[in-house]
Amino acid sequence: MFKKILAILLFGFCGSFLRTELTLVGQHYLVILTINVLGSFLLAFIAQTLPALISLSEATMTGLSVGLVGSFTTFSTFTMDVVTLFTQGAFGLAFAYLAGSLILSSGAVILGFRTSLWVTAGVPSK
Amino acid sequence: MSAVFWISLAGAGGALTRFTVTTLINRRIRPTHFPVATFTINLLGSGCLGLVTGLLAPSWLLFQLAGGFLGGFSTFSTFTNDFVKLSQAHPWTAVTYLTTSVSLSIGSAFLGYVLIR
Repeated sequence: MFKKILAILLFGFCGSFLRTELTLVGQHYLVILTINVLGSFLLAFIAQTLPALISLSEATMTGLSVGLVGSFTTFSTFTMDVVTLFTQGAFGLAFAYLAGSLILSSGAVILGFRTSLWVTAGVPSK
Repeated sequence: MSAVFWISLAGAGGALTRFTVTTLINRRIRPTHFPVATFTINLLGSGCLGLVTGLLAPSWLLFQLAGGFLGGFSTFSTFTNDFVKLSQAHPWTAVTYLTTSVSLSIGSAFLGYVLIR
């Protein structure tokens, strides 16, 4: 349990660091959308691919999924962004951001699973 | 230390809090298809960020720190992964999960923001 907590803190730090740095370099809404789409892909991909390719401890796997990708992506910033756009009267942009995040991220998850199948094809099951 | 370091540290604390809350909720409730833990976390995280935005916006660092914690606490990737996985076996639960998560979380963020402002 101690190793798991340490892994979540360490990888969670890295995920938050990457998200914070990225939001400093680009247009806020575009960066958050990209982060959430990319993270959705990565979680689907690594959760299915890594255990099939290499033997990882449960702590490392939790660190990568719950810590790194979990804290890289964010739901609260997404919902607060919608509220901000809405209160500014930018209804079209609010809707595009909302629908775009949900549709692209769901597509990214499916792509993550498919890519994983493609990568692990032919790898003998462990 | 730079501000980004402390913001990332807050995010790490948020991730660990999410893991703890998920473990506690999953231990307490009976097994269900509906991802109760992530639903609760995202609802709470959104409401708190609404409060924090209204309350701390004048102080850049405090706002960034609280936002960093809540950003690490709430999560989008688990939400979308659970949604896609659910949509294959239990499409109606998946649709309910998506619509309630999004509408109630936006509602809680809005409520938190206008209540405190």
